[in-house]
Amino acid sequence: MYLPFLLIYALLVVTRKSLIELAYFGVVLGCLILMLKPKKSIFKHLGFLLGFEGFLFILALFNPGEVILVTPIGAITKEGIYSFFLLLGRAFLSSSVVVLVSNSLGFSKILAEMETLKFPRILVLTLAFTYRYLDLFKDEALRMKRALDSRAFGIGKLEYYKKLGALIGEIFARAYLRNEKIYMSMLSRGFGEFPKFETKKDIIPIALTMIVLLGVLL
Amino acid sequence: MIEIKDLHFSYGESEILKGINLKIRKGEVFGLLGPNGAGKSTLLLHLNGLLKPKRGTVIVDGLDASKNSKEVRRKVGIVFQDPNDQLFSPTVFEDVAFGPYNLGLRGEDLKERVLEALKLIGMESYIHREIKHLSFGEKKRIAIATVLAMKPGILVFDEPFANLDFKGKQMIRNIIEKLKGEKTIILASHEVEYLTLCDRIALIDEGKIVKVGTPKQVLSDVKLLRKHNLDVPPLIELFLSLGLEVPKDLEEAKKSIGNFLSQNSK
Ligand SMILES: Nc1ncnc2c1ncn2[C@@H]1O[C@H](COP(=O)(O)OP(=O)(O)O)[C@@H](O)[C@H]1O
Ligand SMILES: [Mg+2]
Repeated sequence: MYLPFLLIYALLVVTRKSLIELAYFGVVLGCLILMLKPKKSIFKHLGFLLGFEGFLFILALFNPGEVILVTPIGAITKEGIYSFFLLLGRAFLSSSVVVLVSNSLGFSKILAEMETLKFPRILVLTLAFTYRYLDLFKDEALRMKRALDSRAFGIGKLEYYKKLGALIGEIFARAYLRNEKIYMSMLSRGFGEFPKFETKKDIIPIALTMIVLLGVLL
Repeated sequence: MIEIKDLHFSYGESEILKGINLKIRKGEVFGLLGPNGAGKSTLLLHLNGLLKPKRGTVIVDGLDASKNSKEVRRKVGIVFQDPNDQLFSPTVFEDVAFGPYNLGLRGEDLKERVLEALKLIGMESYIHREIKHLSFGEKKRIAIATVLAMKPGILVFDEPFANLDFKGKQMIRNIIEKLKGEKTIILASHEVEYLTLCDRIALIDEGKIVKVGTPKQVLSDVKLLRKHNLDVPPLIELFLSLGLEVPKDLEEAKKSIGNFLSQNSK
Protein backbone atom coordinates (compact mmCIF):
# COMPACT_ATOMS: atom_id res chain seq x y z
CA MET A 1 0.00 0.00 0.00
CA TYR A 2 1.90 3.00 -1.20
CA LEU A 3 -1.09 5.14 -1.86
CA PRO A 4 -1.65 6.56 1.63
CA PHE A 5 2.02 7.39 1.76
CA LEU A 6 1.88 9.14 -1.59
CA LEU A 7 -1.12 11.18 -0.60
CA ILE A 8 0.21 12.20 2.77
CA TYR A 9 3.61 12.98 1.36
CA ALA A 10 2.22 15.08 -1.47
CA LEU A 11 -0.26 16.86 0.77
CA LEU A 12 2.38 17.72 3.35
CA VAL A 13 4.89 18.81 0.73
CA VAL A 14 2.59 21.27 -0.97
CA THR A 15 1.65 22.86 2.35
CA ARG A 16 5.24 23.41 3.57
CA LYS A 17 6.27 27.02 4.02
CA SER A 18 10.04 26.82 4.41
CA LEU A 19 12.93 25.40 2.47
CA ILE A 20 14.27 23.59 5.52
CA GLU A 21 11.08 21.61 5.85
CA LEU A 22 11.24 20.79 2.16
CA ALA A 23 14.81 19.63 2.56
CA TYR A 24 13.54 17.08 5.06
CA PHE A 25 11.10 15.76 2.45
CA GLY A 26 13.92 15.71 -0.03
CA VAL A 27 15.81 13.38 2.27
CA VAL A 28 12.78 11.10 2.55
CA LEU A 29 12.56 11.03 -1.25
CA GLY A 30 16.23 10.13 -1.38
CA CYS A 31 15.64 7.23 1.01
CA LEU A 32 12.72 6.09 -1.14
CA ILE A 33 14.94 6.08 -4.20
CA LEU A 34 17.50 3.97 -2.36
CA MET A 35 14.84 1.51 -1.24
CA LEU A 36 12.91 1.15 -4.49
CA LYS A 37 16.05 0.99 -6.62
CA PRO A 38 14.29 2.31 -9.73
CA LYS A 39 15.51 1.83 -13.26
CA LYS A 40 18.04 4.35 -14.57
CA SER A 41 15.59 5.78 -17.07
CA ILE A 42 13.57 7.24 -14.24
CA PHE A 43 16.25 9.79 -13.52
CA LYS A 44 15.84 11.12 -17.03
CA HIS A 45 12.12 11.52 -16.32
CA LEU A 46 12.85 13.29 -13.07
CA GLY A 47 15.38 15.55 -14.77
CA PHE A 48 12.82 16.45 -17.40
CA LEU A 49 10.27 17.13 -14.67
CA LEU A 50 12.71 19.38 -12.79
CA GLY A 51 13.52 21.36 -15.92
CA PHE A 52 9.90 21.67 -16.89
CA GLU A 53 8.77 22.83 -13.47
CA GLY A 54 11.73 25.14 -13.13
CA PHE A 55 10.71 26.77 -16.39
CA LEU A 56 7.13 27.01 -15.15
CA PHE A 57 8.07 28.93 -12.02
CA ILE A 58 10.77 31.11 -13.49
CA LEU A 59 8.61 34.20 -13.18
CA ALA A 60 8.69 33.88 -9.41
CA LEU A 61 12.34 34.97 -9.52
CA PHE A 62 11.20 38.47 -10.34
CA ASN A 63 8.95 38.87 -7.29
CA PRO A 64 9.24 42.27 -5.65
CA GLY A 65 11.89 42.51 -2.94
CA GLU A 66 15.59 43.05 -2.32
CA VAL A 67 17.22 43.25 -5.74
CA ILE A 68 20.18 40.95 -6.32
CA LEU A 69 20.68 40.96 -10.05
CA VAL A 70 19.27 43.16 -12.77
CA THR A 71 18.58 41.37 -16.05
CA PRO A 72 17.16 42.77 -19.30
CA ILE A 73 13.77 41.29 -18.46
CA GLY A 74 13.60 42.46 -14.85
CA ALA A 75 15.21 42.40 -11.46
CA ILE A 76 15.84 39.11 -9.69
CA THR A 77 15.24 39.48 -5.97
CA LYS A 78 16.25 37.61 -2.85
CA GLU A 79 12.61 36.96 -2.03
CA GLY A 80 12.09 35.89 -5.62
CA ILE A 81 14.81 33.27 -5.42
CA TYR A 82 13.42 31.98 -2.16
CA SER A 83 9.89 31.62 -3.49
CA PHE A 84 11.21 30.12 -6.72
CA PHE A 85 12.90 27.33 -4.84
CA LEU A 86 9.94 26.91 -2.53
CA LEU A 87 7.56 26.52 -5.45
CA LEU A 88 9.92 24.33 -7.37
CA GLY A 89 10.62 22.20 -4.30
CA ARG A 90 6.94 21.64 -3.63
CA ALA A 91 6.08 20.86 -7.21
CA PHE A 92 9.09 18.70 -7.86
CA LEU A 93 8.96 16.68 -4.67
CA SER A 94 5.24 16.00 -4.84
CA SER A 95 5.29 15.05 -8.50
CA SER A 96 8.50 13.07 -8.45
CA VAL A 97 7.36 10.89 -5.55
CA VAL A 98 4.36 9.90 -7.64
CA VAL A 99 6.49 9.31 -10.74
CA LEU A 100 8.96 7.31 -8.73
CA VAL A 101 6.47 5.04 -7.03
CA SER A 102 4.22 4.52 -10.03
CA ASN A 103 7.18 3.74 -12.24
CA SER A 104 8.71 1.22 -9.93
CA LEU A 105 5.44 -0.38 -8.85
CA GLY A 106 3.42 0.02 -11.98
CA PHE A 107 0.61 2.42 -12.50
CA SER A 108 -2.03 -0.29 -12.64
CA LYS A 109 -1.09 -1.35 -9.14
CA ILE A 110 -1.65 2.15 -7.87
CA LEU A 111 -5.05 2.07 -9.54
CA ALA A 112 -5.85 -1.23 -7.92
CA GLU A 113 -4.80 0.15 -4.55
CA MET A 114 -7.15 3.07 -5.01
CA GLU A 115 -9.90 0.58 -5.70
CA THR A 116 -9.13 -1.46 -2.62
CA LEU A 117 -9.16 1.68 -0.51
CA LYS A 118 -12.62 2.43 -1.85
CA PHE A 119 -11.69 5.67 -3.52
CA PRO A 120 -14.57 7.20 -5.42
CA ARG A 121 -14.69 5.49 -8.81
CA ILE A 122 -14.77 8.79 -10.63
CA LEU A 123 -11.51 9.87 -9.03
CA VAL A 124 -9.76 6.63 -9.93
CA LEU A 125 -10.93 6.86 -13.49
CA THR A 126 -10.07 10.49 -13.89
CA LEU A 127 -6.58 9.71 -12.73
CA ALA A 128 -6.30 6.68 -14.97
CA PHE A 129 -7.44 8.61 -17.99
CA THR A 130 -5.32 11.62 -17.21
CA TYR A 131 -2.37 9.34 -17.03
CA ARG A 132 -3.33 7.75 -20.28
CA TYR A 133 -3.95 11.14 -21.89
CA LEU A 134 -0.54 12.33 -20.86
CA ASP A 135 1.10 9.46 -22.62
CA LEU A 136 -1.11 9.75 -25.66
CA PHE A 137 -0.70 13.47 -25.57
CA LYS A 138 3.07 13.37 -25.60
CA ASP A 139 3.11 10.70 -28.25
CA GLU A 140 0.49 12.08 -30.54
CA ALA A 141 1.70 15.64 -30.08
CA LEU A 142 5.14 14.60 -31.18
CA ARG A 143 3.85 12.87 -34.28
CA MET A 144 1.50 15.67 -35.21
CA LYS A 145 4.15 18.27 -34.60
CA ARG A 146 6.43 16.38 -36.93
CA ALA A 147 3.68 16.38 -39.53
CA LEU A 148 3.19 20.09 -38.98
CA ASP A 149 6.89 20.87 -39.11
CA SER A 150 7.37 18.92 -42.30
CA ARG A 151 4.82 21.10 -44.02
CA ALA A 152 5.08 24.36 -42.11
CA PHE A 153 7.91 26.04 -43.95
CA GLY A 154 7.27 29.53 -45.09
CA ILE A 155 4.63 30.44 -42.51
CA GLY A 156 5.23 33.10 -39.88
CA LYS A 157 6.01 32.37 -36.23
CA LEU A 158 2.62 33.57 -35.07
CA GLU A 159 0.84 31.45 -37.65
CA TYR A 160 2.94 28.50 -36.60
CA TYR A 161 2.01 28.81 -32.93
CA LYS A 162 -1.64 29.23 -33.84
CA LYS A 163 -1.49 25.97 -35.74
CA LEU A 164 0.31 24.34 -32.87
CA GLY A 165 -2.44 25.47 -30.51
CA ALA A 166 -5.15 24.02 -32.71
CA LEU A 167 -3.21 20.82 -32.91
CA ILE A 168 -3.06 20.49 -29.14
CA GLY A 169 -6.82 20.98 -28.93
CA GLU A 170 -7.27 18.23 -31.47
CA ILE A 171 -5.08 15.88 -29.48
CA PHE A 172 -7.17 16.39 -26.36
CA ALA A 173 -10.36 15.78 -28.28
CA ARG A 174 -9.04 12.53 -29.68
CA ALA A 175 -7.82 11.35 -26.31
CA TYR A 176 -11.17 12.12 -24.78
CA LEU A 177 -13.07 10.07 -27.34
CA ARG A 178 -11.04 7.09 -26.40
CA ASN A 179 -11.85 7.07 -22.70
CA GLU A 180 -15.12 5.20 -22.94
CA LYS A 181 -13.48 2.30 -24.73
CA ILE A 182 -10.57 2.20 -22.33
CA TYR A 183 -12.99 2.07 -19.44
CA MET A 184 -14.75 -0.87 -21.07
CA SER A 185 -11.45 -2.62 -21.53
CA MET A 186 -10.70 -2.13 -17.85
CA LEU A 187 -14.13 -3.42 -16.84
CA SER A 188 -13.67 -6.46 -19.08
CA ARG A 189 -10.60 -7.33 -17.14
CA GLY A 190 -12.16 -7.20 -13.73
CA PHE A 191 -11.58 -3.59 -12.80
CA GLY A 192 -13.63 -2.83 -9.71
CA GLU A 193 -15.62 -6.02 -10.05
CA PHE A 194 -13.56 -8.81 -8.60
CA PRO A 195 -12.54 -9.15 -4.99
CA LYS A 196 -9.12 -7.78 -4.18
CA PHE A 197 -6.77 -9.57 -1.85
CA GLU A 198 -3.73 -7.74 -0.64
CA THR A 199 -1.42 -10.64 0.13
CA LYS A 200 1.88 -9.01 0.91
CA LYS A 201 2.08 -6.53 3.74
CA ASP A 202 4.61 -3.98 2.66
CA ILE A 203 6.56 -2.44 5.49
CA ILE A 204 8.39 0.27 3.56
CA PRO A 205 5.46 2.56 2.81
CA ILE A 206 4.08 2.26 6.35
CA ALA A 207 7.45 3.10 7.86
CA LEU A 208 7.92 6.00 5.46
CA THR A 209 4.52 7.42 6.29
CA MET A 210 5.34 7.30 9.97
CA ILE A 211 8.68 8.99 9.40
CA VAL A 212 7.12 11.76 7.37
CA LEU A 213 4.37 12.37 9.91
CA LEU A 214 6.80 12.37 12.82
CA GLY A 215 9.16 14.72 11.05
CA VAL A 216 6.41 17.24 10.45
CA LEU A 217 5.08 17.03 13.98
CA LEU A 218 8.46 17.65 15.56
CA MET B 1 -22.72 -22.02 -23.98
CA ILE B 2 -24.12 -18.65 -24.94
CA GLU B 3 -27.77 -18.09 -25.59
CA ILE B 4 -28.97 -14.79 -26.95
CA LYS B 5 -32.73 -14.34 -26.86
CA ASP B 6 -34.62 -11.55 -28.57
CA LEU B 7 -31.89 -9.03 -27.91
CA HIS B 8 -32.77 -5.40 -28.57
CA PHE B 9 -30.48 -2.46 -28.06
CA SER B 10 -30.50 1.22 -29.01
CA TYR B 11 -28.12 4.12 -28.76
CA GLY B 12 -30.48 6.98 -27.96
CA GLU B 13 -33.25 6.95 -30.53
CA SER B 14 -31.73 4.67 -33.11
CA GLU B 15 -32.27 0.96 -32.67
CA ILE B 16 -29.02 -0.89 -33.36
CA LEU B 17 -29.93 -4.48 -32.46
CA LYS B 18 -33.40 -5.55 -33.50
CA GLY B 19 -34.21 -8.87 -31.92
CA ILE B 20 -31.13 -11.07 -32.12
CA ASN B 21 -31.51 -14.80 -31.45
CA LEU B 22 -28.40 -16.97 -31.40
CA LYS B 23 -27.02 -20.05 -29.70
CA ILE B 24 -23.28 -20.49 -29.56
CA ARG B 25 -22.11 -23.93 -28.48
CA LYS B 26 -19.32 -24.72 -26.12
CA GLY B 27 -16.02 -25.26 -27.91
CA GLU B 28 -17.06 -24.06 -31.33
CA VAL B 29 -15.53 -21.33 -33.45
CA PHE B 30 -18.37 -19.01 -34.27
CA GLY B 31 -18.14 -16.29 -36.89
CA LEU B 32 -20.17 -13.11 -36.91
CA LEU B 33 -20.13 -11.80 -40.47
CA GLY B 34 -21.55 -8.44 -41.41
CA PRO B 35 -20.74 -5.15 -43.15
CA ASN B 36 -19.54 -2.06 -41.28
CA GLY B 37 -22.23 -0.72 -38.99
CA ALA B 38 -24.18 -3.97 -38.93
CA GLY B 39 -24.08 -4.07 -35.12
CA LYS B 40 -21.37 -6.70 -34.59
CA SER B 41 -19.36 -4.74 -32.03
CA THR B 42 -22.50 -3.69 -30.23
CA LEU B 43 -23.61 -7.30 -30.01
CA LEU B 44 -20.22 -8.43 -28.70
CA LEU B 45 -20.27 -5.85 -25.91
CA HIS B 46 -23.42 -7.54 -24.61
CA LEU B 47 -21.64 -10.85 -24.17
CA ASN B 48 -19.98 -9.82 -20.93
CA GLY B 49 -22.47 -7.26 -19.75
CA LEU B 50 -20.59 -4.14 -20.86
CA LEU B 51 -23.79 -3.07 -22.54
CA LYS B 52 -27.20 -3.96 -21.11
CA PRO B 53 -30.00 -5.02 -23.43
CA LYS B 54 -33.02 -2.84 -23.81
CA ARG B 55 -35.04 -6.00 -24.22
CA GLY B 56 -34.16 -9.68 -24.27
CA THR B 57 -31.39 -11.59 -22.53
CA VAL B 58 -27.88 -12.88 -22.98
CA ILE B 59 -27.25 -16.07 -21.02
CA VAL B 60 -23.68 -17.31 -20.59
CA ASP B 61 -23.32 -20.75 -19.00
CA GLY B 62 -26.67 -20.25 -17.37
CA LEU B 63 -25.91 -16.76 -16.06
CA ASP B 64 -27.63 -13.59 -17.21
CA ALA B 65 -24.79 -11.41 -18.50
CA SER B 66 -26.43 -8.15 -17.55
CA LYS B 67 -27.12 -9.24 -13.98
CA ASN B 68 -24.02 -11.32 -13.23
CA SER B 69 -21.46 -9.29 -15.12
CA LYS B 70 -18.88 -10.02 -12.42
CA GLU B 71 -18.90 -13.79 -13.03
CA VAL B 72 -19.57 -13.49 -16.72
CA ARG B 73 -16.53 -11.25 -17.26
CA ARG B 74 -14.34 -14.02 -15.92
CA LYS B 75 -15.79 -16.41 -18.47
CA VAL B 76 -15.86 -14.10 -21.49
CA GLY B 77 -12.74 -12.25 -22.61
CA ILE B 78 -13.16 -9.62 -25.29
CA VAL B 79 -10.35 -8.47 -27.56
CA PHE B 80 -11.37 -5.08 -28.91
CA GLN B 81 -10.82 -4.04 -32.47
CA ASP B 82 -8.41 -1.22 -31.71
CA PRO B 83 -5.57 -2.36 -29.44
CA ASN B 84 -5.02 1.25 -28.39
CA ASP B 85 -8.34 1.06 -26.57
CA GLN B 86 -7.35 -2.16 -24.90
CA LEU B 87 -3.84 -1.33 -23.82
CA PHE B 88 -3.71 1.50 -21.33
CA SER B 89 -0.59 0.73 -19.35
CA PRO B 90 2.93 1.93 -20.08
CA THR B 91 4.51 -1.51 -20.40
CA VAL B 92 3.50 -4.89 -21.77
CA PHE B 93 3.92 -6.56 -18.41
CA GLU B 94 1.66 -4.11 -16.64
CA ASP B 95 -1.09 -4.38 -19.16
CA VAL B 96 -1.09 -8.16 -19.35
CA ALA B 97 -0.94 -8.28 -15.54
CA PHE B 98 -3.90 -5.96 -15.08
CA GLY B 99 -6.58 -8.66 -15.44
CA PRO B 100 -4.88 -11.38 -13.36
CA TYR B 101 -4.07 -8.77 -10.71
CA ASN B 102 -7.75 -7.96 -10.47
CA LEU B 103 -8.35 -11.70 -10.10
CA GLY B 104 -6.17 -11.62 -7.00
CA LEU B 105 -2.85 -12.90 -8.36
CA ARG B 106 0.32 -11.42 -6.88
CA GLY B 107 4.06 -11.74 -7.02
CA GLU B 108 5.50 -14.82 -8.72
CA ASP B 109 2.05 -16.20 -9.57
CA LEU B 110 1.25 -13.01 -11.38
CA LYS B 111 4.51 -13.01 -13.28
CA GLU B 112 4.05 -16.64 -14.24
CA ARG B 113 0.57 -15.97 -15.54
CA VAL B 114 1.78 -13.05 -17.63
CA LEU B 115 4.59 -15.10 -19.12
CA GLU B 116 2.25 -17.97 -19.85
CA ALA B 117 -0.07 -15.66 -21.79
CA LEU B 118 2.80 -14.08 -23.69
CA LYS B 119 4.19 -17.51 -24.56
CA LEU B 120 0.87 -18.51 -26.08
CA ILE B 121 1.24 -15.71 -28.60
CA GLY B 122 5.00 -16.11 -28.91
CA MET B 123 5.92 -12.76 -27.39
CA GLU B 124 7.69 -13.57 -24.11
CA SER B 125 10.59 -11.39 -25.11
CA TYR B 126 8.30 -8.34 -25.22
CA ILE B 127 7.49 -8.46 -21.52
CA HIS B 128 9.34 -5.30 -20.57
CA ARG B 129 8.74 -3.36 -23.77
CA GLU B 130 6.92 -0.06 -23.76
CA ILE B 131 3.55 -0.32 -25.41
CA LYS B 132 3.78 2.98 -27.23
CA HIS B 133 6.84 1.74 -29.10
CA LEU B 134 5.12 -1.37 -30.47
CA SER B 135 3.82 -1.67 -34.01
CA PHE B 136 0.10 -2.02 -34.61
CA GLY B 137 0.39 -5.74 -35.27
CA GLU B 138 2.40 -6.27 -32.09
CA LYS B 139 -0.13 -4.30 -30.09
CA LYS B 140 -2.88 -6.41 -31.53
CA ARG B 141 -1.20 -9.60 -30.35
CA ILE B 142 -0.45 -8.15 -26.92
CA ALA B 143 -4.12 -7.20 -26.66
CA ILE B 144 -4.94 -10.88 -27.13
CA ALA B 145 -2.47 -11.79 -24.39
CA THR B 146 -4.13 -9.37 -21.94
CA VAL B 147 -7.31 -11.37 -22.36
CA LEU B 148 -5.67 -14.83 -22.43
CA ALA B 149 -4.00 -14.01 -19.12
CA MET B 150 -7.40 -14.15 -17.47
CA LYS B 151 -7.99 -17.67 -18.81
CA PRO B 152 -11.55 -17.16 -19.96
CA GLY B 153 -13.37 -20.13 -21.45
CA ILE B 154 -14.89 -17.94 -24.15
CA LEU B 155 -12.77 -15.66 -26.32
CA VAL B 156 -14.31 -12.90 -28.36
CA PHE B 157 -12.36 -11.18 -31.14
CA ASP B 158 -13.73 -8.02 -32.71
CA GLU B 159 -12.29 -7.62 -36.22
CA PRO B 160 -9.05 -9.42 -35.35
CA PHE B 161 -7.69 -9.12 -38.87
CA ALA B 162 -8.47 -5.48 -39.56
CA ASN B 163 -5.58 -3.20 -40.54
CA LEU B 164 -2.98 -5.94 -40.44
CA ASP B 165 -0.50 -6.86 -43.11
CA PHE B 166 -0.30 -10.40 -44.44
CA LYS B 167 2.11 -11.61 -41.79
CA GLY B 168 0.07 -9.98 -39.05
CA LYS B 169 -3.10 -11.66 -40.27
CA GLN B 170 -1.31 -14.97 -40.51
CA MET B 171 -0.05 -14.67 -36.94
CA ILE B 172 -3.48 -13.88 -35.54
CA ARG B 173 -4.88 -16.78 -37.52
CA ASN B 174 -2.28 -19.12 -36.06
CA ILE B 175 -3.10 -17.96 -32.55
CA ILE B 176 -6.78 -18.62 -33.15
CA GLU B 177 -6.06 -22.04 -34.66
CA LYS B 178 -3.98 -22.85 -31.61
CA LEU B 179 -6.78 -21.94 -29.22
CA LYS B 180 -9.38 -23.78 -31.26
CA GLY B 181 -10.85 -26.75 -29.45
CA GLU B 182 -9.63 -25.50 -26.11
CA LYS B 183 -11.88 -22.44 -25.97
CA THR B 184 -15.13 -21.26 -27.38
CA ILE B 185 -14.15 -18.62 -29.92
CA ILE B 186 -16.27 -15.89 -31.42
CA LEU B 187 -14.94 -13.87 -34.35
CA ALA B 188 -16.56 -10.77 -35.76
CA SER B 189 -15.43 -9.65 -39.18
CA HIS B 190 -16.58 -8.04 -42.37
CA GLU B 191 -14.02 -10.05 -44.32
CA VAL B 192 -15.48 -13.26 -45.68
CA GLU B 193 -12.16 -14.96 -46.30
CA TYR B 194 -11.13 -14.92 -42.65
CA LEU B 195 -14.21 -16.70 -41.46
CA THR B 196 -13.57 -19.91 -43.38
CA LEU B 197 -11.93 -21.38 -40.30
CA CYS B 198 -15.19 -21.14 -38.34
CA ASP B 199 -17.45 -24.05 -37.49
CA ARG B 200 -20.51 -21.89 -37.98
CA ILE B 201 -21.19 -18.38 -39.23
CA ALA B 202 -24.03 -15.96 -38.61
CA LEU B 203 -24.65 -13.26 -41.18
CA ILE B 204 -25.78 -10.06 -39.48
CA ASP B 205 -26.94 -6.81 -41.05
CA GLU B 206 -28.84 -3.79 -39.77
CA GLY B 207 -29.15 -5.32 -36.34
CA LYS B 208 -30.72 -8.57 -37.49
CA ILE B 209 -29.43 -12.08 -38.05
CA VAL B 210 -29.95 -12.84 -41.72
CA LYS B 211 -28.65 -16.39 -41.87
CA VAL B 212 -26.86 -18.94 -39.67
CA GLY B 213 -25.05 -22.05 -40.84
CA THR B 214 -21.78 -23.73 -41.73
CA PRO B 215 -19.31 -21.68 -43.79
CA LYS B 216 -20.41 -23.66 -46.81
CA GLN B 217 -24.05 -22.82 -46.24
CA VAL B 218 -23.52 -19.14 -45.56
CA LEU B 219 -20.61 -18.30 -47.83
CA SER B 220 -21.93 -20.19 -50.84
CA ASP B 221 -24.74 -17.71 -51.32
CA VAL B 222 -22.66 -15.09 -53.11
CA LYS B 223 -25.72 -13.09 -54.12
CA LEU B 224 -26.82 -12.83 -50.52
CA LEU B 225 -23.35 -11.74 -49.38
CA ARG B 226 -23.14 -9.07 -52.09
CA LYS B 227 -26.61 -7.84 -51.18
CA HIS B 228 -25.29 -7.19 -47.69
CA ASN B 229 -22.27 -5.29 -48.96
CA LEU B 230 -19.81 -8.05 -48.28
CA ASP B 231 -16.84 -8.52 -50.51
CA VAL B 232 -16.58 -12.07 -51.82
CA PRO B 233 -12.98 -12.95 -52.64
CA PRO B 234 -12.54 -14.20 -56.22
CA LEU B 235 -10.98 -17.45 -55.02
CA ILE B 236 -13.99 -18.31 -52.91
CA GLU B 237 -16.23 -17.47 -55.81
CA LEU B 238 -14.12 -19.70 -58.04
CA PHE B 239 -14.44 -22.66 -55.69
CA LEU B 240 -18.16 -22.19 -55.50
CA SER B 241 -18.62 -21.89 -59.24
CA LEU B 242 -16.66 -25.13 -59.67
CA GLY B 243 -19.07 -26.76 -57.24
CA LEU B 244 -16.36 -27.24 -54.62
CA GLU B 245 -16.60 -26.67 -50.89
CA VAL B 246 -15.17 -23.47 -49.46
CA PRO B 247 -11.71 -24.55 -48.21
CA LYS B 248 -10.67 -23.77 -44.63
CA ASP B 249 -7.10 -22.89 -45.59
CA LEU B 250 -4.52 -23.11 -48.33
CA GLU B 251 -3.73 -26.79 -47.71
CA GLU B 252 -7.35 -27.74 -48.05
CA ALA B 253 -7.64 -25.59 -51.16
CA LYS B 254 -4.69 -27.34 -52.80
CA LYS B 255 -6.09 -30.76 -52.01
CA SER B 256 -9.51 -29.85 -53.27
CA ILE B 257 -8.15 -28.43 -56.54
CA GLY B 258 -5.94 -31.53 -56.94
CA ASN B 259 -8.92 -33.83 -56.55
CA PHE B 260 -10.97 -31.73 -58.88
CA LEU B 261 -8.32 -31.82 -61.60
CA SER B 262 -7.69 -35.53 -61.37
CA GLN B 263 -11.43 -36.23 -61.49
CA ASN B 264 -11.98 -34.04 -64.49
CA SER B 265 -9.01 -35.29 -66.45
CA LYS B 266 -10.38 -38.83 -66.41
N1 LIG C 1 -21.32 4.79 -28.85
C1 LIG C 1 -22.19 4.88 -29.86
N2 LIG C 1 -23.12 5.85 -29.88
C2 LIG C 1 -24.02 5.96 -30.87
N3 LIG C 1 -24.06 5.12 -31.93
C3 LIG C 1 -23.18 4.13 -32.00
C4 LIG C 1 -22.19 3.95 -30.97
N4 LIG C 1 -21.44 2.88 -31.30
C5 LIG C 1 -21.93 2.42 -32.46
N5 LIG C 1 -22.96 3.16 -32.89
C6 LIG C 1 -23.75 2.91 -34.11
O1 LIG C 1 -24.27 1.63 -34.04
C7 LIG C 1 -24.26 1.01 -35.31
C8 LIG C 1 -23.58 -0.34 -35.21
O2 LIG C 1 -22.22 -0.14 -34.87
P1 LIG C 1 -21.24 -1.34 -34.59
O3 LIG C 1 -21.85 -2.27 -33.61
O4 LIG C 1 -19.94 -0.74 -34.23
O5 LIG C 1 -21.15 -2.03 -36.01
P2 LIG C 1 -20.05 -3.02 -36.60
O6 LIG C 1 -19.17 -3.42 -35.47
O7 LIG C 1 -20.83 -4.14 -37.17
O8 LIG C 1 -19.32 -2.27 -37.66
C9 LIG C 1 -23.56 1.97 -36.26
O9 LIG C 1 -24.53 2.61 -37.02
C10 LIG C 1 -22.89 2.96 -35.35
O10 LIG C 1 -22.85 4.23 -35.92
MG1 LIG D 1 -17.17 -3.14 -35.20
